[in-house]
Formats: sequence, C-alpha cells, structure tokens
Amino acid sequence: MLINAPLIVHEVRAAFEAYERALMENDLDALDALFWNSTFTVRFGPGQNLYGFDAIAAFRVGRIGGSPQREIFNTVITTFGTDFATANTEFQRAGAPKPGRQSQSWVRMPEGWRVVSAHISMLGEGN
Amino acid sequence: MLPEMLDIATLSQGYAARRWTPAEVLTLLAERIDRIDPAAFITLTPMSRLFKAAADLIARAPEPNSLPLWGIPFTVKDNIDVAGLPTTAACPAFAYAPDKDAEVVARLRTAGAIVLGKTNLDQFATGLNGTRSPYGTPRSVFDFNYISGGSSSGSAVTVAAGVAAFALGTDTAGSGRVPAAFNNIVGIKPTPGLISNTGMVPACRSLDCVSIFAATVADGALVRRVAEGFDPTDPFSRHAQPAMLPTKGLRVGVLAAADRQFFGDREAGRLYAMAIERARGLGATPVEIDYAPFRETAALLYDGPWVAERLAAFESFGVPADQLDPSVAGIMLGGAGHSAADAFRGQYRLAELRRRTEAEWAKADILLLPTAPTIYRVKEMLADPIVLNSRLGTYTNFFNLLGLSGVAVPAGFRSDGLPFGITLAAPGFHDEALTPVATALHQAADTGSGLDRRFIVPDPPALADDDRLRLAVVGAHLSGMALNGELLALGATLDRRCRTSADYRLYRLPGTTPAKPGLVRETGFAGPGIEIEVWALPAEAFGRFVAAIPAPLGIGKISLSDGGAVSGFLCEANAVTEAEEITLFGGWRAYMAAQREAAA
Repeated sequence: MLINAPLIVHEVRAAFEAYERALMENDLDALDALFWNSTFTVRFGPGQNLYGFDAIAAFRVGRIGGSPQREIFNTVITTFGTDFATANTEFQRAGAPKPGRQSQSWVRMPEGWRVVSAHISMLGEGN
Repeated sequence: MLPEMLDIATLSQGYAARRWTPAEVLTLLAERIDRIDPAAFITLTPMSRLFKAAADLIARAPEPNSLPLWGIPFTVKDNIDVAGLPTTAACPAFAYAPDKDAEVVARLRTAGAIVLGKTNLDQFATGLNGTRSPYGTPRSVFDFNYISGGSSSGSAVTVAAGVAAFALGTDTAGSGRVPAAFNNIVGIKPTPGLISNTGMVPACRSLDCVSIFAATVADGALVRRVAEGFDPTDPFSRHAQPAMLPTKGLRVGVLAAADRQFFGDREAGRLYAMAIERARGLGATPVEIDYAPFRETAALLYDGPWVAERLAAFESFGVPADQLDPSVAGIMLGGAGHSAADAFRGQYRLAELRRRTEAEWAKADILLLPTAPTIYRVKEMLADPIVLNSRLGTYTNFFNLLGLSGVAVPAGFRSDGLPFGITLAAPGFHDEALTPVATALHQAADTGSGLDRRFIVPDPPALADDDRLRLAVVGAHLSGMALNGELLALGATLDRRCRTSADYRLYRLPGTTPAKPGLVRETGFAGPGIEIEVWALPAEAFGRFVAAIPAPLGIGKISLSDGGAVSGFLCEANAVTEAEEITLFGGWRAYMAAQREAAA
C-alpha cells in the first residue's frame, strides 16, 4: 500500500488546515462542509458524545462563540493508499492548564476529503 | 514502488497481486510528471478528475484486470479530442473545448484506460522533429540537446520517461515512428482506416492515421486490438481484412548498399546492418529490394499536390495564417500553388509507383528499414528547419500513400548513447502479422525500452501460451465483424486465415441477429471451400465461449483445404433446409460485402 505519498499528504494537510481555520473563525458552514454528512459520523468531545452529522452540526450551532482559541503543535498526518488518512495533533487552549489532543480520520469521499470520526480530549484527565 | 518503465503487463500483474491500485498508480505518476520534460504536456488532467476516473473504474469493474486495459494510464496527442480537456493542435488560436471523446479515446476508456493528459506536438501535426510548438520543445529522453522527433513528440516522451503505459499519436508521414526511434520505444502505425479518425484534427485527411506508442510490441498490439474496428462515422474507416505472414522462411526486404542514406551518420549505417544480421539470425532471409519506387512515392508527399490537401485542412480551421509556426505556415500555404490538374497527375503518378512496388512485394514478405536516417540537435533543427525535417522522413513518408502497415522498434544505441530504430513494413492489414517478428527483433536488439536500457522485453503472450486452444470462426466472429469483440474480450488473437476443404456448404441462417451463417459438410460435394479464421484463446476462455453458443450452431472438427483439421463452428443440418445457400461467395465476409454493395 502507498503510505504517505506526498501528493496525498498535501491534499489532506490542506483539508486539515482548512478545518483548523474554520474552527478558529467559528465558520459553521465551513466546519459542516468538512465533516462527512452521514449518520455514521462520530465526534467524541471532552464534554459530549455526538453520533451522526446532525448532532455534530447542532452542537456547533449551540456552542456560543465557538471553540476556544488554540495553538496546535506536533501534528502528524499519515495517509494510507489514496483515500484514507489519520490526522493527530496536540493543542493548547488559551488559559488551559494542560494541552489537549485531537484525533481525526479523514476519507476521500466523492465530494472531497471529509472527517468521518473525531476524538478530542484533555491531557491529565485520566490516569 | 512502480517500475521505471510502465509496461502494461507489469502494471496489470501488480493490480492482480494487489500491489497497487489505479488511484495509487495515478498518484505516483502525478509526482513523476513533475520531474520529466515540462514540454511533454500541453494539458494535464486535473488530479480530482484522475481520482474520479479511478473511482468510476472500481465502481464499473471492481475486479482487477476485468477489462482489457483496466487502470492503464495513457496520454493523448493534443490533436485528438478528449472530452473536458481543450484540443489545441499546438496552436492557441485554434483551441476549442470538445464535448465528446474521439472514437479511439472512447474505445480505450471503455476498456478501462485512464487519460493522464494531452501531449505536445509539432503544430497541426506538421513536422517530424518536435520543435514546431509554442508550448515548448520536447527533447529526446536520452539527451536534452537533441530533438524528440515529431510530430507526436510529447506522446513519445511520456512513454519513454515512464509516465504513461502507452500513448496515442498520429502518423501521416512518420509522426508515430520517428519519435519512437528517438526515444527507444515501440511505435505502431496501423493500416490506414483500421483505427477511426473521428475526433482527430486532420493534417492530410486521406492519409492520416492514429498511432500507438508503447514500451513493447505486445503492449502496442494489445492497445491496437482494443482501438481498431470499423467506424461508420469516419468516412475513411475500413473493414479490416487481416492477412498473415509465413512463420518460417520469412523474406525480409532490405536496402541495397547504394540506397542506404544516413546523411553522414556512420553509426546509424552500422546499426542498420546489425539489425539485418539479427533478422537473419532469427531465421529470416534478407533480400535486397529496389527502393526507388518507395523513395519516389515518399517524395510525392511534400513535392507533389498532397501539400494542397494540408491547405484544405488548414482552410477548415478558421485560423489566421499569422498565428502559425513559420515552418508550418510555409508548408500549409505552399499548397496553394497546385492545381486540380496537378492533383490528378499526382494520383496517376502514385498509381504507377504503387504498381512498381508490387514487384518488390513479390520478392519480400516484409521490409526492414531504418526508422529515421539520423537524429539532430535542437539547435541544428532550428537553423535549417525544412531541409533537416524532410531528411527525417526519408524512410517513413511513403507508408500511408501506399496503405502499408508498420511497426517501429528500438534497434540499438550509437556510441554517444542516442538511440537508433528500425521499422518493419508490410502491405495493409498485416498489423497483427507483424507483431511476432517485431517483438523478436526488439528482444534480440537488447535495447531495453525507453529510458530503462535494462528493461527485459517479455515474450509475447501468444508464444508463452502455446497450450492455448484454436477455434475456427466462420461468420459474425471474423475479425472486424459484428461479434469479433467477444473474441477480443476473451484475450483471443488471430492465428491465421485459411479455407475449409471443398466439401462444405455455407448458408445464411434465417432470423438471426446479427446475421449468422451455418457451415454444413456434405460428403462428396466439391465447392470452393469456405474462408475461415483460426483464433487462439486460453482454455478457460474457450470453455466460456462454447457454453454461450446458441443452437443450431455448435463446435466440431472442420477439415481444412491443406488437409488439417481445427475445432470450429458447424451447423445442425436440419436448420438449413429453408436457408439461402451462399457457398459460391466463398465465405461470410465476401457475402456480407456483396450485401452491403447491393444495399448501397
């Protein structure tokens, strides 16, 4: 299998960066556009388990002011074949005691690269 | 991950073994394209469209290699339409957006092949050198100072550089062969009319041909079999009448010493002589021919009234003359000096020359010629664009005027590392028959293919599969006829044409669609014998084929006029009691031709 073909990594990085930009600007249309519009899409956040695209979109609408501002670092994007990728990154929210982690699975859908599952958590909350 | 040279056989093996997927291959090639001669392409297929093509292929035919060209990437000379990409013919003022694939492109895509992009060419396919384009000058993959050859310059470079597994070119005067020679690859120049020209920008319409570049003769022949076939929308399309060559004692016509013109390139002369010796080593008999009628035919193409045919094409383009490359303008507009009377005189002259070549074809089954006499630097070509260009066509210009089939193969390297090629020529419709001898000469030359000089040319499948079964077909499965595609889809290849013994009768079976004949044996009957074709196919394909045969037809042993016997189509006797007997036509093809004539 073709792993980390530069052209594919480039595509996924562009999608990943577009998502981060949209998150910081709380651009709901752009955020929705980058998640797979399916009942199978899952997003586990620090404070909620969201099943299905509609639940995820509703969560974003209800989150006043959007995501807290954050810096990301130690981003690792790995592509498998031409249509699947994982993107893992650490982030530091302004004023938070510890960094958080975000893990996403991306798939090339006919409409473009989309997040099909995501998990966000904070370091130090477990053991 | 991918081999340096992309032959179809290796790509398909990788698909079967799940070593790579079409989308992965396209990804790697997109990266490779960035590293090759930037002048090779005029338009690239956008990456998103490539991924869509790969996804569509998987949706349509999920199993690897379930289509003849499943996931095989190719490039298309930019005078052949591909829907969704502009056609420029290397003239920006002429560019248009076709809404439909050329017929040949449509056939290849239906067979699973994927278009990587449109390649550079000498403007309006007028030239044999590659420098006549505003989109840059492609170079030989072996030396940036040297021309790639033209007019199908970019197509040849993409194959030789390992970016495309095959490429479409066009060949009116040598444009599908000269660039093959200068890049160490194979160039298939089909018999005119074998592959449809619908959707191709004309250069010299009565002589134009779509051609194929590939790493090996076997690959090129595979593509040709998919691409060929009668197309009623092309008025120059012809029904193929495949002809065979002897498998033993092949007589190979070669140039006499006085006719060996290499314009001072002694190494080309040496390499040509070596190629003749290799043919002898393979069991062929070299025979010196009188080259004069071929040379005089070649001269007719640019010195005679055929340049007016180029003007006729140009006048249909609606492009101002000041938008043309100066050399191209000189040739196109030079056609204005010829009268209609000149055109007829040219036809008479051609007919005389064609008659004179018949004496040479009586001496030799095929010709073995240099593809081009020598190669030039880009700098030299630009300094003397007309004279040097015409030299490049010394051994190619006459083919289409005479309706010949040809295959150009690599034939060695000069001591400076530049390649030399030879072309095998035969009368029309020997396209299939030329492939074994062309493969043998490519293998014997030990040139590798394209940039990869260590590439091993595999044995053609027909030789490797000698346990394949032979099947004689009588009617709609004959080459070029309605059901021939069923055989091709099973990977069958034409083995030979022959006749049954005299005691067979042929009938037109009533109420069959497409129309089918029935062959019935009658002891003691003395007829003309019926024309049949013997095809070779893998055992399991033979089984599938036989299982699908409808009553009243079946497979039995057919006796041949030469005393042998072969499995083939026979008909139950009770089915022909009411049928029209057509034995006297001597075969289904002749009967159908007569029907068409009667209908016209």
